[in-house]
Amino acid sequence: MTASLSRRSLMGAGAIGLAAFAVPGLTSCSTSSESPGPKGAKPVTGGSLRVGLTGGGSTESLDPHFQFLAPDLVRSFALYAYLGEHDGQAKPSPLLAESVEPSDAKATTWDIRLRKGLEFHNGKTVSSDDLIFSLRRMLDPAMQSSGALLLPWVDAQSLKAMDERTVRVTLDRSVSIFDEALFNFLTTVLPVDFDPANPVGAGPFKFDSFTPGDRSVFTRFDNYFAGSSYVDQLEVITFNDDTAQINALLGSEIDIAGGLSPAGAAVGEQSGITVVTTPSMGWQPLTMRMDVAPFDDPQVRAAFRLIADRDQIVEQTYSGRGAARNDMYGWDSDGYLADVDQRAQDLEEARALLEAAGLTDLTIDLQTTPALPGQVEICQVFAEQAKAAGVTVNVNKSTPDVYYAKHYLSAEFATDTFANVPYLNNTLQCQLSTSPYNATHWSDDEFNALYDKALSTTDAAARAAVIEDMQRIQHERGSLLIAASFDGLDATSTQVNGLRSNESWAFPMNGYHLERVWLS
Amino acid sequence: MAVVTRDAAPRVHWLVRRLLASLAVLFVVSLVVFAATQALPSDPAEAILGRDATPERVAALRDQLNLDRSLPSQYVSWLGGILQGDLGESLTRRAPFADALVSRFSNSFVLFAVASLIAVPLSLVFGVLGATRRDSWGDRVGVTVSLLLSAVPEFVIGVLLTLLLATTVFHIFTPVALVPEGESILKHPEAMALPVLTLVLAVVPYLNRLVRAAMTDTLGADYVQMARLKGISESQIARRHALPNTLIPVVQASALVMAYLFSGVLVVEFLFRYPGLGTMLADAVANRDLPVIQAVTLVYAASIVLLNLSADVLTIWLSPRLRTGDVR
Repeated sequence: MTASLSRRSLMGAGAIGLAAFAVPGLTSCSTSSESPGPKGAKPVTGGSLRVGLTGGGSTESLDPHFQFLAPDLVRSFALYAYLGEHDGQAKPSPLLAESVEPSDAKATTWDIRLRKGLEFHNGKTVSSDDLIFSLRRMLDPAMQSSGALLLPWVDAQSLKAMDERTVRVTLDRSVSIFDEALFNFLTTVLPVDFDPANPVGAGPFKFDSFTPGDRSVFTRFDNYFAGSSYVDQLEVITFNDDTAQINALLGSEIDIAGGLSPAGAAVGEQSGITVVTTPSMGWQPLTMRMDVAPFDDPQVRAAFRLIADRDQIVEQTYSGRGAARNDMYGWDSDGYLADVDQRAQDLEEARALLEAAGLTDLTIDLQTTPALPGQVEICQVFAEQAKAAGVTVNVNKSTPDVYYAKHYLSAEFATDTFANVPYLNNTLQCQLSTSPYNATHWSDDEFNALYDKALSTTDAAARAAVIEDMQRIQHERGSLLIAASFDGLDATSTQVNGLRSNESWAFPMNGYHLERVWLS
Repeated sequence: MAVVTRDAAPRVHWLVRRLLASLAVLFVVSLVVFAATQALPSDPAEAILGRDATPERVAALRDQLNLDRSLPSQYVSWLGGILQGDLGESLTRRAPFADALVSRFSNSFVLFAVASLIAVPLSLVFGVLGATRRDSWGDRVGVTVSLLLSAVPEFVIGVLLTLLLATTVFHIFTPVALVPEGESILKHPEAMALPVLTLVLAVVPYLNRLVRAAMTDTLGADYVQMARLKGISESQIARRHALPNTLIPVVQASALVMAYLFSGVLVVEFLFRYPGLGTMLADAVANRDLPVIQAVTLVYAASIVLLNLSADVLTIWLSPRLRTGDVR
């Protein structure tokens, strides 16, 4: 059975001889190392950094509040940067902001303070008016941005300039982690006269040209607050698939091939390319809709979680480039529930639970799409494992447009992908009835009350204890089957320096800090 | 008799009829493509928004993109635009795309033309050589290699050529055509090497066997036997007697193969990220960009219709019986 499983996942991954390159346990305790190039050499300036990415197309957008595709995020960071980011320990870390702090004891009002002397590409100094304009634009329902969903507590009208670089935000409740939530991929600072056709931001690179689905060019911004970029120019080039992308890297037509599939990374390594790893960058749950049969019965959800052989999923879905998980996300966050045993495959118990639920010959469709690497493969591996428990899982693969229009959020059994951000951020995305990506229709009164409590708890240690209780519920009776996390995989040529391997970030390539990359 | 044969009128009539029929074909193609795009299971608004396609956002975007009009009114306004030379706007780029279409078409055409200019003469030479030296050592090797190559799909040929000539064994050519959009491929000849080579290798084995078979038939015909008996040398027979008669089936076969080549360009473009019509179509289909899908398929259909028409004209010109007699 193992052999047939391997072959299947290999075919799904579209590579030959992949199993031989699977590296188990690459994630946790490996030491961080730089991308190639001369070790310890002094950074040099100059050159054009060419980054090849997949997952784009003619719908690519430069609008910082209209970001749906991988190449969009890289460009958005280069042009605008963000107010803040999350470091490798899932801690909020300000970037354009100097500080984000509550201005009352209950954390219902917060002050966002911008860095001093922050400058836009057109030479204008960034002021609190610009920040208010940007936040309102992001929250504007007419903008079709996801911003309002990421910051649901903000009243856009209440934003108030306290001085030249401080904005007071009034929330409709206590939000102890407003800084964590604010530091997302849509919150940036734009000038009040922002024009998407000629975009100006405060990020490390200035706009030069942009052709959706093809390429975009940016040049160094000398006055970037954190030090100007080493390279003179940044080019972002879109590819149809990672075969052409890796070939371009091998032919020295690009310097970085970002967002590789495990199969693509294996092919690249086989050809002598260095792969930069961002450990456990994200997670791909199987989503079980808890409001309809069969998953409205907690026994069925428990049975499915016992069907998963998590180590095998890491091996066969991610070629070992990931880690087994315990049906919980937020493993880097304070309060992560570590005192429960790692769930392991138990087919006997799974069968017994299904029998108790009256479902001995269960057949179920599992909806998926190849929009992101791993999403189809994880379903195929799970379907194979389910056979042993007498469950027939039919994997139904659709193109992304069809999947998101017809199956996503409505299918009883499906898959999804999330970046590893702080626990309460992920919860806001997918585990509340108001969440935009609540594919499992998860709604649990006890859990909701605890979420409420966590938002109101300003003391970090006390909040961690609440988070632990929330996770206990998810671990016990949750609707997400989180078998594994996956690593971010980017390949570089030998000329690229400054990308660190095995360092945690919410985004690949050192959290998209391409201004810190230099070419030798 | 002589007067009738010199009269060009029937041939002009024939050509006019063929041209009108071609226009009718294009019209039907546009209807079919329009119907097919409507049958797709998602619309552009959903395709653009992807994972964030909430009902409200889809409705708002549909409104912005004018997707709520009735189907006949969408088709009629599109057709009206086309007849006035206006292709409309790309739904995803939200801008006119005529310039992109022209540059993509010329890139694809250059690829197609270069591949044809190499593949057709090469097939002729190999085919004629094979037929005149039938069952020789060289002919057998040729036939075996042809058979082997025809069994391999073009994308496999492309991948193997990339490994051999660009990435792994030798580093002679650039593996991927990174030509900025709007720039002519002629400025980047190095980017064409692998796509052209792939197409040539995909087509020559097939066409060369067709030529060989046609030539073999002709060489066995009575009038060739007659020529032999008259003592004419074999090379003269091949050139003067057999080849002109072999050309007619070969022209028709070449048209077929070139039509195949034109669609083969699609796969090869994808493989090498070549900035042509094929990659444009692939992206438009993925994003349900209806005006672009319509325009690109119409260009494809028109090219193939034109290709077949030229083959028919060439056939008439090559065959004395049709050239001088009444064409139906």
